[in-house]
Order: sequence, then structure tokens, then C-alpha cells
Amino acid sequence: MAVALPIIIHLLLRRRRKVVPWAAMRFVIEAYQRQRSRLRLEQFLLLLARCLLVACAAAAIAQPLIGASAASSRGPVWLTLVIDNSLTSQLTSDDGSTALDRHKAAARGLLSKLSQERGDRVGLVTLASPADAITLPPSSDLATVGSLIDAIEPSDAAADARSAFDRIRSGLDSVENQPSSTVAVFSDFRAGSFDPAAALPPLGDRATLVATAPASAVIDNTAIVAIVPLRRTLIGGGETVAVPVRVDLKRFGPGLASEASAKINLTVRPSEPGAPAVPVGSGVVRFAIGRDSASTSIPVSIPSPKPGERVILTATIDRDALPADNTAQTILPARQRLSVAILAPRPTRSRPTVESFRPADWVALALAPERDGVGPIRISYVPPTSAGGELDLAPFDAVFVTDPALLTDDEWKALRTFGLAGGVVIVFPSPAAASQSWFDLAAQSFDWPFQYSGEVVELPTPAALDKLDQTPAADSLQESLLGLVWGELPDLGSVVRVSQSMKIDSSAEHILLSDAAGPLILASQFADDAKGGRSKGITILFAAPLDLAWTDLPAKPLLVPLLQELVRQGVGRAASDAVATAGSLAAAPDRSTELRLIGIDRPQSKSGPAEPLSFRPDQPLRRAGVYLALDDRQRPLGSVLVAPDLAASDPSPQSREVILPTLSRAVGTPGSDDAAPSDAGTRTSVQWLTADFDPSREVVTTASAQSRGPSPWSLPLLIAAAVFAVAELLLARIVSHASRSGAASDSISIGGRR
Amino acid sequence: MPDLGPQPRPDSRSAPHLPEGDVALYLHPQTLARLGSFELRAKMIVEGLSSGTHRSPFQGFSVEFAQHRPYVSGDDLRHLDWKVYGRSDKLHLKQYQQETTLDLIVMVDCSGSMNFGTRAFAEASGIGRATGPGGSETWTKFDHATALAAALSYITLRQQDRVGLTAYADDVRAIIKRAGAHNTWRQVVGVLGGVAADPANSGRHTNLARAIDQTLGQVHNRCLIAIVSDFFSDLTELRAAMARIKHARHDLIAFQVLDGAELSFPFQDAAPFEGLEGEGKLRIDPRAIRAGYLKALREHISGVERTLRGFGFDHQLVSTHDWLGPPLAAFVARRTAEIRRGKYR
Repeated sequence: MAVALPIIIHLLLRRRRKVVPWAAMRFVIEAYQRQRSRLRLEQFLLLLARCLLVACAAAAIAQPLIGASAASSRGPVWLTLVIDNSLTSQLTSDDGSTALDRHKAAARGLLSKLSQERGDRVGLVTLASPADAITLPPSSDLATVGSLIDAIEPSDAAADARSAFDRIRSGLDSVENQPSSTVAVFSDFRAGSFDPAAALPPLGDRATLVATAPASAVIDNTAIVAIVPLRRTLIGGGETVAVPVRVDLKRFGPGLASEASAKINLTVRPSEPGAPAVPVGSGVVRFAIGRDSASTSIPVSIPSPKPGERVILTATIDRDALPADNTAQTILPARQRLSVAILAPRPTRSRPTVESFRPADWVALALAPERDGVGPIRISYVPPTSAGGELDLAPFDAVFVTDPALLTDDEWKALRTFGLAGGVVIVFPSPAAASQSWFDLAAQSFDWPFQYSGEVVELPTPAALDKLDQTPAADSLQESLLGLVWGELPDLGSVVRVSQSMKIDSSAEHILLSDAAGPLILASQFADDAKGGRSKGITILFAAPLDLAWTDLPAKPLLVPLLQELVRQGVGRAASDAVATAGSLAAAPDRSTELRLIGIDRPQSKSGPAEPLSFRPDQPLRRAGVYLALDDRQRPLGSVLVAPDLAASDPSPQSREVILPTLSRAVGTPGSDDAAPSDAGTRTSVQWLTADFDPSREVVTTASAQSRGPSPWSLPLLIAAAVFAVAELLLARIVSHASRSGAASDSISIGGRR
Repeated sequence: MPDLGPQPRPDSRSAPHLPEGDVALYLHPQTLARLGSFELRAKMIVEGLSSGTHRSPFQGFSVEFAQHRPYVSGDDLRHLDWKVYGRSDKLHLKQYQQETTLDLIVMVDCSGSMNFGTRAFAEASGIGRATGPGGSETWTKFDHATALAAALSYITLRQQDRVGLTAYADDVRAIIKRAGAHNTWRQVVGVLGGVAADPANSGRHTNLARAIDQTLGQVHNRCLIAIVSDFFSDLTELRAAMARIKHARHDLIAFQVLDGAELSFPFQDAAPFEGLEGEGKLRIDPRAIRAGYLKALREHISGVERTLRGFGFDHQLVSTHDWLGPPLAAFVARRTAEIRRGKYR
């Protein structure tokens, strides 16, 4: 191109000349014809000299670049493969292959262009949260990395590009004489797997970023958001247990503009590996036009759960392009019966009259109305005075405190320990109105968010329980404790009257409320400072004791379902397994040394080795399912439920224009579809990966390659350029005939003609 | 002042008279001042219709002695030189030069090549006019030829002689018959101005032989012919034309008018050059061919001079960038000296 420059200049200048009218044309023609051959030779030599001058100069200047390029083709290539194995990478195409399969094949293709003999190195990072630096810093063992690519399993977690880029940068920074490197991202960049608003950390100015083009296919997807059994613990082993189950669904894609329905199948199976699943119910969820979420409640009859068994309840919808979110699971522990302690002396009479009923007696009557004592709840009286400092509440699921004024400090501490362990503590005020000084001690022990004003409100007219027509908020204590009977509460509560109550202000949840008397029942979770959060244990505070002088609740039908539900649901909530989102660390039970995946009801990956089934508790769990927590003797301690990260279920495609700015920030340049290398040694750009992409050609790989001096050809070329420059000057002077044309004596003199 | 005969009338092809101011363009006071102290003398003693200061080819009994010749039977005895008879006892007759008037025919080349000039008209004309009769802003060779013709005519008329004009290119474009009227030189300027302004005369070739033939066809006495041209024609053609003039025993003065740029070829940048007589266009690097051009031109000028001198005619090279007076005066002075040396007696 540069060689053509003199010719182009010559042609451009040639067009600008004005025509000179000339009378003595015959002499011009005669002179021209005499010298035509010589003039043409001169012009050709001059043009040749100029072209060679430009060519040599351009080659001399470009030689370092050429040398660097040649060095790159000879030097080792550093390549980091970033493969998206997040939830949307499981999107299945018509031929049955998943996006992850494509990504792995493309990564394999790029890997095949590297050469072990040349010293090429390759790193491997997966995008699913938390990003896993499988091979970093890059390894020279290309074959092993190829095997690791094949072994990459899909994850049910969202992609975490920020973490991945952090790991890459750390991996590269750990290498002395950090080389320039190519980072190749293999992803469809769908909405669920790539957040354009994410602030990706810079990879440094020595990195080149290439990425597969974002997918453009529009795909519908329906996901199960939640499966919520309204009874969390199956009580009454050996019998069929009826449990209503709510299933929430969400849909994505263009189908949002039309009605749709999804059939839900529910199955149960014991937690033992290999146990068959038994269908227990089904239902249909209908999406209205424009609505992306819907839910339904399905009654489920679980046949004969064995006491101590953990039943896995699985909801499945019809398979779509993303099967990973078509399944949701939960665990229901089965119990023969619940054990409840009442911190009160045993009744003195075997058959007390109504007038002599203490609050503890009302509690016992409500929880165990059966005389034979074989009901689902077994009652035990634990006298406070006998407790001393060694109150053992471990055998119990729930504890009722009917006269807190009788408890000592140590007993309050024991109750706190019990609550932190997941127990349910239900506290009633002391029947003696003036004896409510226990409150401060209790509030301190239980970290109550309640404030007692110190006065007991006496209502001239007994107030009714009201405000029961509002649906409890989802995932609230109110919903979890009383959700199953909430529909009956307006009828049952309307006949209950409250004459006195403790005036309690609370920012915590209130379970039942009297408009006039204030909150009647309040609930709060135990705060476990040691674990940095809330414990599963629940404390429930009644504002009035079960005393007819305070309220007629003990004599009303509401008392039985109210106390039964508080105990059953409270215990079930406390006993429910830890639920984690795929990609995060699960809160495994204490003393757990292994988490074993037991609840997989969907097809395994087609390629690669068998999926690892056991993980350490400190490992993030990337696959959704039920994990059995085992101690060092392989004894089960509980289970951990891992759900897909539904934030990653959105398969909506995203355009290049949306993706590019975010990726570009990682390499420190504004996004451009046609980004070009800024210089020979540093390519700070984003390129879309094509089949003919060759990392050995595109990248200058090592610092040593860049720090090389000029090529040995540079100096000779410069000398040649100088020689041609001198030749051009001489030729130009000769060809221009400047010396002869400048001599005025050459002109024809008039005097000389005489 | 002798009788000038019939008043000169321009040929029907010539242009109307120019106003006085335009006449002054070509014979302005500076030129006249230069010419005032010289007389134009013909190289030959020509036969005139009226007696003047020019020597007559017919020897007779005028005031100036020419030669002796032996007496033959029948001669008039009144012209015997008795002093010679007394000394040598031989009869000789005295012969005298008869002075005649001079007919000057000015032939001006108006071909396409004459319409070239590089000198600013305003500077060359001397009176501040920016353009010539043809609208040109440059002082062309034809303008210079016009001035020279005017000067020759003026001097000739001041000597009581007659002046005629022929403007020619590939044939005769305008003619003024010989006349001795005092203002005939104005007619000369007017006719030549009309020729320059006529678009029909642009781009024509030169055919000197044909113009000579047509001019000599109207001349029956011996004349002095002054050709004002760039002589960019073939030497063969020039030689043929000169042979005709020599054969008719006319005398000839050739003024070869060239532009200063033609004599120096001062161009530096490559450009297309286009001939004024249809030679076409040629892109050249002037510096590359300058030497060859000047050599060819120099050879051609030498060839013209040799051809003319071969016939005994004079050749004078004139540059448009020089004032008209000095070369013209030098020429007249040299011719006078030659006549006085008796070259043509």
C-alpha cells in the first residue's frame, strides 16, 4: 500500500496542471521526440527509487511489529477459557444438546489450536456461582485441561462473572512477568446468566477478551419457584397424612402475552437412596394473560410415613427447554408424636373442675384432649421449682410457660438455650396482674423486640379478636404458624373476648390482634448471635394468660386449634431443613462432615463422568436437590435442601450492544464491535469469537517477546531506505534538469543572432 | 511634399480604421523619439514614381555622379566628359545616379503562432492600456509586429516614400495598396488591429510562399519588402518564397519576431503544452526538454538567417520583450552604413 503512495501522488498532481498555449510547439515536439526514451527511463528510475524508498522505510518501521507478530506465533500462548455452566447453560436445543455442550465443544476447538510444544498454557474457569477456577494459573498440560472441560457439569446456580474475572485476574497476577493473555468467554449471555449492570473487574491492559456471540433465539421457560407444604412436619407415623401443598410457578419469554397452563405432579419418596417415588397428587396452574407468576394449592396424602423418616416431596412440571427449574423439592420429617413440656406443677386433682383450672391445665387440655395420652402430642409437666439450675428441655419440642413469675434466671437461660436449639417457647403472663416483673428478664433472655409498658389494660367492655380477615403475608410467622387454619379464624375468633391484657408495643409480628386490647399473641425468632442470624427457634408471647378473668379464650373452641397449630407448625418450622440456593454454602447441621446428594429426580448430564455425590459442608452446592448431612461415622444428622437459583431462569436473549459495554469495561476500553488492537503488544479490546479465531495469531503472549529489540532486518532496511533516499534526491535533481534550466545563459540572445 | 498619388484604401477584408488612441499603442512617443534621428535607406536603389532620397537603379543625369563609360555611336554628346577627353584623348560619357522614391511593402504574419505573448500588454504598450484590440492581456508577437510595421511605415512616409501592407497567414488576409499619404501608417495600424480582432484569423497556418505570390502579383516595380513574422515555417518553404522575391529583383528585410519566453523557455513545472496552429497537446516536463527545445529553436533561427542571407537579404531577430526602437534603429544604422560603403552601387 505504501509503495503505491508515490504513484498516487504523481497521478493526483498530474491532474492539477493548467494547459499552456504555446506557439513554438514544433520545437517542443521536436525536442520531446528526441528525448522521449531518455525521459521515460529517467521517470521510471525516479519512480522506482521512490517506491523502494517508501517500501524500505515502511518495512523498517513495521519490522518491530512484524517481529513481535512473528514472536507471538512462535512464543507460547496464554489462554484462559471461561465456560458458562450456569442454570441457563442447560437450555436444550432441538437436537438434545445443551448450551453447555456447545460451549464445551467450542472451548475444545480453541484448545486444539494450541500447541504444547510451543509452551502454550491454558486456564479454565467456570462461570456458575461461585466461579470455579479449575485451572489457574494457566497450565501447560493441555490434555488434562481438555479432560477437565469435558468433566464440567451444569450448575443450577446463576452465573457470577464478577467473581470469575476476579479469579482470572488473581491467577494471572500471580505469575511473574505477567504475560498478555487471551480470555475467551463461552456463554449465551442470556438474561439469567449475565447481568449487563454487573461491574466486572478489569483484567488489566495486557488482556484480550474474546467472547461467543450472544444467543438470539427466543425461548419460553416455566420454572417452579417454590413448593410449600402447609404442614411442615408429618405427625402420626404409620397413618396416611394429608398435607396441603402450595406450588408457585413463574414463566419467562414471549409466551407471557397469552394464557398458559402447566400440570404439576407431586411425588414423595423416603430419603434413602434408591427408594422409589410415589405419586401423591397433581394439579394444574393457569397463567393469566400478561401474568408471569401463578400458584396453586394441591392436597397431598402421604402414605404411612415411618416415624423418624424424612420424606422428600417433589413437584415436577412438564419438561421444557430448561429442565433444571422444572423440579422443586422439599423435605418433610415424619414424627410419631410431639413432646411438649409445661413449666408448671402437676395438677393436684386428677379431675379438676373448670373453676380450678390453671392456665397450665387449659394448655394440657387443648394440646392433649385425649384421655388415653396416645395422641400426637404428649404432655409433660416440669415444675419450675424442681428444675433448679439443670432444667433439661432437650427431649421436648415445645415448652409452655404458664406462670413466668415462678422462673429463675437459670431457667430463663435454659429456655434460651432450648430456643436457640430450635425449640418453641410459648409464654403466658402471670395470672396475677401485678406480678409481671418477669417481662424484663424474659425480654433480655429471648431478645424480644417487644416493649411492655408495665401496665395491664383492663377493658370495661371485653374486646373481641378481630382483624382476622387479612391474608397473612407470605413467609411470615403468621402465615407459617396459623396459615393452615387461617380460614377458620374469623368464625372462631369472633366469639373470644378479652377483658385484660398486657399492653405491649412491638415492631415484631403479632399473630392475633384485638383492636381494642392490642396484640394478643406475638411471635419472634430467637436471635443466634453465635451463628450471626436468626435461629429456627420461636418464642410466642400471649398478652393474656389462659385465665377467665383475663379472657374467655380457654372456654372457646379457638383454643384447641390455636395451641395445636402453634405447636405443630412451630415445631415443624423449627425442624424444617436448611434451604440453600444453588451456588451458595448450605447451613449444614453441626458436626456434619459430609453432604450427600440423595434427591435427584431429573436426568443426569449425558457427558462426562458420574456426578460427584458427596461434598464437604464448606463446599458450595451447585446442584439443586436434597443433601443428606452425615457425621464422621456416616450417621445422618439432617438434610439440606438446595434449590435452583431462579434468578438465573430467565432465558431472554440479550443483544451485543447490551453485552459489549460490560465486557469492554473488563478490558478497559469503550465497547466497539470493530475494536482493533491498539498496538502490537497490548490488545485492549473485545472481539466476538469466530471459528477462524487463532489465539496464536491474535495475541502477543509473553513479556519477553515484547521486550525484544528491533528485528535484525530493521537496520539493513533503514540503511537501504537511506540509500534510496539519496538516490531519489540525485535522480530527482537530474530528472528535474534544475541546473540546466536555471542557467540564463542558455537562453537565445538577440545580440548573438546578428 | 511630393505627390502621394491616390489615397490609400484598405482592402475590403481589412478592418475599419482604429481610433487615434489605438494607433498610438503601436507607435507611441518613445518609439518615435528613437527613430527620429535616423533615416531609412533602402538597401537597393529602387525605382520610384517620384524623385526622392533613394538611389534609382536607372542611371541618368541627376546630380550625383555614378561612373564613366566609353562613348558609342548614337550617345548624346552633351554627356561627354571633356576633361577626360582632354587628358586621355578618349571619349567617355559621364553617368549620374537618379534618385527615386521607395516603395515599401510590409508583410505581417497573422497566423496562429503570432497570437502568443507573455509580456503584459499594459507594460509593453507604454500608455497604460491593459488589453489589446483582440482583448488579449498580453503583448503578443502580432502586437509587436504591428508596432514594427507602424514604425517602418512612419519612417518611410517621412521620407516621402510609399507604403503598402499585406497581412497574411495561410493566404492574404488584408492588403493596403501602396500610398504615400502622410497618414498611411495609421491605415496600417488600423488594418492590422482589425486582423487581430477578427476571430476568423485565429489558429491559421502560415503559407508564406502563397502570400508572396499574391503580393508580387500586384507589384510591377521593384520594392523593398519587409516581412514581419516568427518564421515558424519550414525552411524549404521559406527558401521557395525568397527565391520568388529574388527572382523579381525585390529587396527584402526580414524581422523575425519571437516572444521572450520562446527565447528562454522559462517554465519549471510539468504541464500540458498546446500548439496554437493545431499541433495538438503534449504533456512535458519543461526542464527536461528545455535544452533540446532551445537547441532546435536556435538551429531554426540560424537556418532562417542562412536562407535569407543566401539570397542577399537581411535578417533581424526581434524580441517582444525588447523596446521596438533599439533593434530597429540599429538595423537602419547598419543598412545605411552598408549602402554608403557602396555595396549595391
